[in-house]
Amino acid sequence: MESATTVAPPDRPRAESRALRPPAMSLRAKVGFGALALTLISFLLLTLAWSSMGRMERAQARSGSANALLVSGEMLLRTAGELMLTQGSLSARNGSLAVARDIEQHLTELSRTDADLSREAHRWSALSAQVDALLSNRLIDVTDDDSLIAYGRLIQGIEGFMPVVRDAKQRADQAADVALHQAAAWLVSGLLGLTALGALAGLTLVKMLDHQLGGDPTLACEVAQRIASGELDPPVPHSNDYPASVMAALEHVRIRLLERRAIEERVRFLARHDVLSGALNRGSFNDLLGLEIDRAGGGAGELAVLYIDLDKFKEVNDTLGHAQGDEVIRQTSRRLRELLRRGDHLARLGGDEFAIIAHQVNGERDIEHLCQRIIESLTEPMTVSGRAITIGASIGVAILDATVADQEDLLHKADLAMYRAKANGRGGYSIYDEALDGSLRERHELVRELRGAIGTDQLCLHFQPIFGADAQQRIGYEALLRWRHPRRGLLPPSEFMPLAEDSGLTESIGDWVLQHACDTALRWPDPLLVSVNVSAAQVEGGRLAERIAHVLAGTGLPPGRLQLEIAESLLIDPQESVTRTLEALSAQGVGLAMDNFGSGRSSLGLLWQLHFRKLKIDRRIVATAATDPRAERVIESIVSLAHALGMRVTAEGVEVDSQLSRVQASRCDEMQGFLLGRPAPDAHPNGPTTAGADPA
Amino acid sequence: MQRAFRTLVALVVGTTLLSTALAGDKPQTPGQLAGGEVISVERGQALVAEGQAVFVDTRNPLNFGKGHVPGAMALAYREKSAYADDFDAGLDQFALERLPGDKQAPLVFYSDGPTGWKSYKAAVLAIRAGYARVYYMRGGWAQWEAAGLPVER
Repeated sequence: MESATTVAPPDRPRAESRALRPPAMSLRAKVGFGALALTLISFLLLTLAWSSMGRMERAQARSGSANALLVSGEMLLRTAGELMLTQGSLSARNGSLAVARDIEQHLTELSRTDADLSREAHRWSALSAQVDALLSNRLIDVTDDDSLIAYGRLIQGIEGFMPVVRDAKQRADQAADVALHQAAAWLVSGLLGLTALGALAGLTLVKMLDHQLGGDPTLACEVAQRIASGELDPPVPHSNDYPASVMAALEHVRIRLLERRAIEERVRFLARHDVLSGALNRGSFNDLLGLEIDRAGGGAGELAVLYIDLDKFKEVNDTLGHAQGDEVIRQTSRRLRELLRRGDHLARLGGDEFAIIAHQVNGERDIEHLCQRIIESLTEPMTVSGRAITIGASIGVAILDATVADQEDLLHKADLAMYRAKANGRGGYSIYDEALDGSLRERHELVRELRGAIGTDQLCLHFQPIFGADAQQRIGYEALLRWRHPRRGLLPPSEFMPLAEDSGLTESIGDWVLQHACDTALRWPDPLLVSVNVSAAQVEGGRLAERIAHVLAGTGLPPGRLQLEIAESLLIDPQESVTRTLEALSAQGVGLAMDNFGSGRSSLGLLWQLHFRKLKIDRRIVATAATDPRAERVIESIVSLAHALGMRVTAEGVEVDSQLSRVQASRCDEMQGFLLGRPAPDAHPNGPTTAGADPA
Repeated sequence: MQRAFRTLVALVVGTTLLSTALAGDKPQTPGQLAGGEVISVERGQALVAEGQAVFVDTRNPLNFGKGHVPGAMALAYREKSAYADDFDAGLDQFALERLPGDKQAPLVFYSDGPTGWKSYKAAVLAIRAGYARVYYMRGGWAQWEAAGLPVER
């Protein structure tokens, strides 16, 4: 039945030949047809056997009948003899009659099928008559002549009849023999057919079981081994020779394994990547960098780390919200990835910090080119929530060389270079060198210390008195921030505030200054005001007005006694948020003073629009006023301009008498300087209010 | 039944052997018959054809019953005398009165054959009783049957 599987060319792989074979009759159909044919044949043979058994039985019966006839003939001889010897006893008579009846019966029976016998059967009637003749004798005796004659005739008749009977018996025996052989032959062949059917059934059962359990296991084994070895992509082949269940099970296993593999890959990816940007996370970046450094084997110039910090990310996050910040991160990582070369890696180390591991760096020119491209790419505006945002980036680069200890060292050096890039002005890049190390380390140290100083008594306020035009009357004090550094001594804001701005510490420091200044001013007699310097970051942050309202409400200081000094530089190109803040502050009744007026490029056009009440003339103009009459003209012009706009003017940095007299001559409304009063840790409003009297 | 049959067969065989042995010793009848005529079976057959002669079968009626010359009458000769010419008829029984009354009627006596003394003795007794035409068919039933002559059963 499997002849079809063997016709495949032997040189072809087995599985292939199986797949290429035209679809034949299914196993079930083949077995069904075979069994039907065998059943029919067996049924036919058994029917023949059955009928020949019947014939055999009849032949046997006839044979028995013929035998009985023969015996009966001899019995007739004997009973006739007994009849004679017993002088016709009743038992002998009955015996003879019974035997005669038997003979007649058997004869009739046999004659039906035996033509020869039926031709000779007429002899029996004579013989029967002779029996009757013998029995009809009045006296049956051996001495009676008639009896003897009748007896003799009977014997003669029987002897003549017996050969006929013998022939008939022989024929019957032969026929029975033939019938027996025929029946046996049919029976045997029928049984053979049945046996074959049984064998076929057995084989079929085995085949079916085998088939159900997996058929020829070769292909299933191959497929299973392929799946087990992880080769999951090719689907499980379909074959008519194999039960669908087995192949379906294999396919099911394959799909499940594929799904699991995808999940595992996803898990591995998530464990190693930042979800938002899809870049490597800090942990896996560190691991990878360690591996790359090991692989580079200390060889120089092959590997570089780029530390990228977005310049204006924080503002976007604060003003537009975190969702937009996330979008910026996504777009940034997308742009960065486009710039990567094959084998380079991108990681997101924190909020707005990215890092790139770059391979096959051919000197600094190569790196500079890459940095330039990154900065160009990140400086192009991004569209976030339908709004164009410009985000710049600063990049620090560290190239692997023999001095690099480990991945942390390399990353730290890139970090240092990045700070220098920022310090040099945003939107630039810097490559680490040895000289950088010392200065930047110091700077880092300072930032760390400043962070720790906030909230402690290391930060304090000094107050410098502000006098009226007569240089006698104290109008108020300017609060000046000082850092009592444990090693460096007392530091002015100019030495640490740029650091604070870079490190995002401006706001917390500014808040502390405001609070502390207002607290102090409250202890002063009523009209004295406190003047507080406000940094650009604070104003641009947008929370300043709210914050000041909070502090004023908390301390109970009237708003009119608080004056905010805002650097002129902030107003060069003020953003909308800045003007809003200034308006709000003005509306609260807080006095606004423009600090360092005349030092930079002030926009005169904005002077009257921005609610300033006061201009503070820069100390350099005041300093030159004593020697240069043109400076005096400038001061006079500023004063008349301010007065024309309804603003007061304060002269800063009055240090000598000549300066004082010039300033007074120029009709400045207020003045401050070392000549009049130095900054001191605490104001003495109750002390002498005349010039020259130090509040300390 | 089987056993009885076997016994019967043995008996029959034994009897046959015995009679054969006895027949070997039995003397033949004389070739002439005083006052009668010894004839062959062919002559006997001719007489049967003529239809005049009365054939007398002197054998045991049983043998007569088994077969005899057509038209013969069964008249058994109960023989106890010796097988010799000078037999003592007084020892034997033979119903002469059953022979035809007409003494001129041709009578043909026969028995088993040349050793069948019954027909010889019956023929002698018939001659003595005055029958004029007595034939003794010496060949008897044996030769008659052997010659294939007509038989009546």
